[in-house]
Amino acid sequence: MPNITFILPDESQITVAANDGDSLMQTAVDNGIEQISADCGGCCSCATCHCFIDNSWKEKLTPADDMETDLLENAIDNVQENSRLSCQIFLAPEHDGLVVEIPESEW
Amino acid sequence: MSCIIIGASHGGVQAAINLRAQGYTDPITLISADKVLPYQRPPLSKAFLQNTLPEQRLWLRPETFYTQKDIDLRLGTRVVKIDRQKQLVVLDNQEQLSYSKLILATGASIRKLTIPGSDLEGVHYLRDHQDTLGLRDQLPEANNAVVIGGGYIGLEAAASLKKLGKNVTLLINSERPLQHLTSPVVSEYLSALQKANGVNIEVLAGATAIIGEHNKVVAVQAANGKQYPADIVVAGIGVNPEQSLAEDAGLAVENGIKVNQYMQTSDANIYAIGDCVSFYHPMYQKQMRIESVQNATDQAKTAALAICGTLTPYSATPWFWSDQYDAKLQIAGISAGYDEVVVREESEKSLAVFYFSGDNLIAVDAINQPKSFMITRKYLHSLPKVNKIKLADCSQDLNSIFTE
Ligand SMILES: Cc1cc2nc3c(=O)[nH]c(=O)nc-3n(C[C@H](O)[C@H](O)[C@H](O)COP(=O)(O)OP(=O)(O)OC[C@H]3O[C@@H](n4cnc5c(N)ncnc54)[C@H](O)[C@@H]3O)c2cc1C
Ligand code: FES
Repeated sequence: MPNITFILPDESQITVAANDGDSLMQTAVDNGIEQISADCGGCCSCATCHCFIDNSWKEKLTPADDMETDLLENAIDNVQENSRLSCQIFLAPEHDGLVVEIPESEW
Repeated sequence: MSCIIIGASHGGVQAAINLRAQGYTDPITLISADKVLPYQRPPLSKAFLQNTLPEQRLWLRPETFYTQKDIDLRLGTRVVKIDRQKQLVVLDNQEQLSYSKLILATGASIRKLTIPGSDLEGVHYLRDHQDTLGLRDQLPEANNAVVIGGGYIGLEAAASLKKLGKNVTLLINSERPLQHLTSPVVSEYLSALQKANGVNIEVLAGATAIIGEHNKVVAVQAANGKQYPADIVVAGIGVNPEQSLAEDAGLAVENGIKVNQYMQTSDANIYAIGDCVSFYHPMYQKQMRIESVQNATDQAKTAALAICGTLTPYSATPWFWSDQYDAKLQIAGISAGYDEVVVREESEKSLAVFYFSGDNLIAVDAINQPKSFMITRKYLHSLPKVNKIKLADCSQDLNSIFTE
C-alpha cells in the first residue's frame, strides 16, 4: 500500500494509501479528487486525467507509451516534460512517497 | 434551496460533482432507478462483459464519495412525476421532494425487439449493469451467439463474445456496419476486423424472428432467408431518449428534451443533460441529440455552472471512443452530412478518416491513430479549413497542417 501525495490546484495537499495495482487515476478518483474527471474511465482516450510527476520518479515509473505520448502532446496546452496521464500509471509498493501535482482542469 | 438530479449515471453524477465544485452548498439529492452505485456504461459491452474489469472498477465514484460531498444518493428509486407548479417530484414510494432546481439526466432506454420470439429466454440487451450480469451468467452454457445490430453496441458485443470463445454471428439489416454513423472505409475496416477474428458478419440480414424450443432461444431467422443457431441473442438496435417525465410535465420535447445553450428546458428551473437531450449545437448549427459520455459530462458541467450563476453557452466538441479487439476507434466531431473523406493511412492497422463538408473539416474517425484524433479534437471547434492533400500524406506533420 504505497502512500501517495496529491498536490491540488489550490496548493493544498492530501496523502492517501493506494491499493497495489490500482492506477494513479483510480486512486485520485477514489479519494474524491474531482479535478481528475477521467471521462474515458482510463482507456487512454480523453486526457482528463493529466498530472505532473517530479522527474526524480522517472526511474520507477513505466515510461509513457506512444498512445499516451500522442495524447499528452496533442491534447493539452500546458503539457510539460513531466506530464503524465494518471490512468496509465499503475502503483506498486515501490511508489511509496510519490508526489503528484494535479493541474487546474483543462477541460 | 435544493437541487434534485434525476438519473445518476455519467450525466447526473458529473452534475452533482460540479455543483459542489462550484461551491453549491444547498442540499443535492441524486436519484437513481438503478439499484447499484452509479457506474460507467462503456465497459458493459467491453471489459465488464469480458469479465476483465472487476466490479468495483465499474463504479464512477466510491460510495464514500457521496457522503463526503454531502450528496444524498437514493438508489433503487424512481421518480414517477414532476409537479412544476409546486416544484416537487413524486417518487415511486409516494414520497414527495421539493426542489428549487431540477436536473433531468434520465438518459436513454433501449429499443426492444418486436419480432416474433422476442421474449424468449436467452434474448439479451446491453444497457445497464444488470443486463451485462444477466448475459454473463448465461455464457458458460452458450456456444452459439447471434448479435443483432450493426451499431457500436452490436460490434462491441460481437467482439467481446468472440474473445470469450463463442461462435458469433452478427446480423446487420443494412449494407454495412455503422452505415449511418461512418464512412464506407471505416465500416470496411471494422467488418474485416470482425471477420479476421472469426465473426460471421451477415449484411442485409436483419433478424425477422427468434426461434425457440421450450421457451428458450435456439436460432434466429434472418431476412436473407437463413437461420442461425443461437443459445444466446444479444440485440443492440438503438435507444430512445427517456423523456416521458418531461413530456408528462408539459416540457418541450422533440427527439429528446429541448434545452437552450445553458441546458435549461422550457421551464427555467429545470435543466436537462446527456442522452435525453435535444439541443442546438453551435458548431454544426443544427439541432442534435448525442449519446456519449463526453456529451453527458460536458453538459453536466454547463448545467452546474448555470445553476451556480455562471452562464457559459454549451459548445463542446463532441468526441467518442469504441474498442474492438486491438482496434481503438476514437472519433471527434459529428460526420453526418459530410461530402468528402480524406484518408490518412499510417499503416495497415492505423488509419484516420477525415470528414469534410466543402472545405471545412467536420469530424475524424481515427483507428489506432490517437494523434489524428487528438489534434483534430483540439482544432475542430472552428471547423477549420485544412489542406486535404497534406492531410492524406503521412510524411507531413499533422500539427503543422493544422496551424499553417
Ligand atoms: C453498453 C454501452 C456501451 C457504451 N460505450 C460507450 C463508449 O465507448 N463511449 C461513449 O462515449 N459512450 C458509450 N456509451 C454511451 C454512454 O454510456 C451514454 O451516452 C451515457 O451513459 C449517457 O449518460 P446519461 O447520464 O445521459 O444517461 P444514462 O447513462 O442513460 O443514465 C440515465 C439514468 O437515469 C435513470 N433514470 C431514468 N429515468 C429515471 C427516473 N424516472 N427515476 C430515476 N432514475 C431514472 C436510469 O435508470 C439511468 O441510470 C455506451 C452505452 C452503453 C449502453
Ligand atoms: S482517464 Fe481518459 S485518458 Fe486517462
